[in-house]
Amino acid sequence: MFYLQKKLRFLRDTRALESSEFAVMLAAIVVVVYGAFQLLGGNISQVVTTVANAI
Amino acid sequence: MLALPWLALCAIYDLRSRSVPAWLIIPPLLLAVVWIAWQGTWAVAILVVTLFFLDDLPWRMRGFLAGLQGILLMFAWQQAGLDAVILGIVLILIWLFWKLGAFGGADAQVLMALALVFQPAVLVPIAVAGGIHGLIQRARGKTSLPAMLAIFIGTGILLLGALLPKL
Repeated sequence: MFYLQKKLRFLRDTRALESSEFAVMLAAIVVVVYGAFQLLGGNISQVVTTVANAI
Repeated sequence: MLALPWLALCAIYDLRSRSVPAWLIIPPLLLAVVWIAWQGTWAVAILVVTLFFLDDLPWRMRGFLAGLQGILLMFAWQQAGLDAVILGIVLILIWLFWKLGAFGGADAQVLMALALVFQPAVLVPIAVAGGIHGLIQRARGKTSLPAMLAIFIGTGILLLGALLPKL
């Protein structure tokens, strides 16, 4: 397991630091997207199901 | 509830050294991958494993793997519906943010483990906590923040919010 961890760049990166600008921007995006999904979630699901059934 | 002491420990490491040791992150992440496969959504589990390898492959292979991820998302749809597809897309976005340098690797791995176990909704309180912390850091003139603190607080809010009505 730790052999893979040393080899793979993604698993090797143990930094735990986030850009503060990005944190603020991401919070705004997540809140807007989550709010939109809460409002339109049922309709989105229905449209996707319709498209999937058509395919 | 085991997640909270684990995240608290991660936050302590983050505050002290701005990094979290691999032994504290990799085993829970792998357990989360096994757990989601155990739940029957093995396509999402394979998708996460492809994300582990994606950055180390030559460009042509990356294209192939990205195509494979698209196919895995379709399998995920069949296995668990729209929720599994959203989970898969969120996992890919977390990886992309790490690749763009917005997250540290430890943050991305912990967020992936939490999204796998608690569904992507756990990321909403985490993002809000991170945004508030980001504003505080900006006001203090700092350009970065120890993200594990926001992850711990956000997850704590979600778990306690789920438990309180039962008490």
